[in-house]
Amino acid sequence: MSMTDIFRSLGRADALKLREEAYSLSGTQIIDREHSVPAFDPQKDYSAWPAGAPVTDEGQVWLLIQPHNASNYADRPSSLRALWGLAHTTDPKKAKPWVNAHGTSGVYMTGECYKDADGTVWRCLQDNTVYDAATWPEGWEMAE
Amino acid sequence: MVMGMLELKYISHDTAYKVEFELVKRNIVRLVGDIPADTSGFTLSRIGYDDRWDHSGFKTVYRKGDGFIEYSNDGSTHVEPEPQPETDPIPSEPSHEDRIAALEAQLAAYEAAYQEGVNEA
Repeated sequence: MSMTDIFRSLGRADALKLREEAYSLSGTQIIDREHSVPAFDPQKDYSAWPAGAPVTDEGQVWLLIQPHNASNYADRPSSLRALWGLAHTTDPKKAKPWVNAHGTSGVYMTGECYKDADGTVWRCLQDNTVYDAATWPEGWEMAE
Repeated sequence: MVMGMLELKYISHDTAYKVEFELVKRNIVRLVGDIPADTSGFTLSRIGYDDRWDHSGFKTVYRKGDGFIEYSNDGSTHVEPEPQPETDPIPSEPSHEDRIAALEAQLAAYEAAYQEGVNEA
């Protein structure tokens, strides 16, 4: 087995392990292990995946809410918010761009961060925040 | 050192040959001209003179070539140097930058393989 094969096997094993454990992990813990999160595949059948399993897409980490076959849908997680939830992190160094919440899905909780278009990282000061720092400054503080 | 055109006479006979004379080494002389080889030694004179400079000790044909003969006065003869076997050039050591670039490429390949595995899962 070549080193390339070993790394490929390692990547597969890490991804499967994270998928199994994801339901019990926070968004911060999952984003910490983002290197083991597979990219969203619009042709993939996610029917057998457990709820909470993560994928990456459009610079975000999405968590499976409702197992489904993606090939039956024309959209991707950012447009399929009933099927995919958004993971947030409290680690400013791994903060991701702002995404509007969808109902209760994707709301920011205290301590969670996002990075704005200027690169400024904001830390949420109140649970269930749905507005960004530009719209609701008192709900946020600069994280770094 | 080339002496210009001179007249050579071998000790063994009286025929005169026009030659150019050159001292190759202390014990080797070169005679350039249309002359036969002879191992009796020779004398040299300026053209039209009877100098008879003594070179009777140069009796050994050191080397014979196209239009020249070399004589030695110590019995030595020319030995062609053995051809040196061709050796592969010593590969040059890669530079520090080359090593870093190679390592980075290797790491990138491993990262890509890891990511392939993640996406296959």
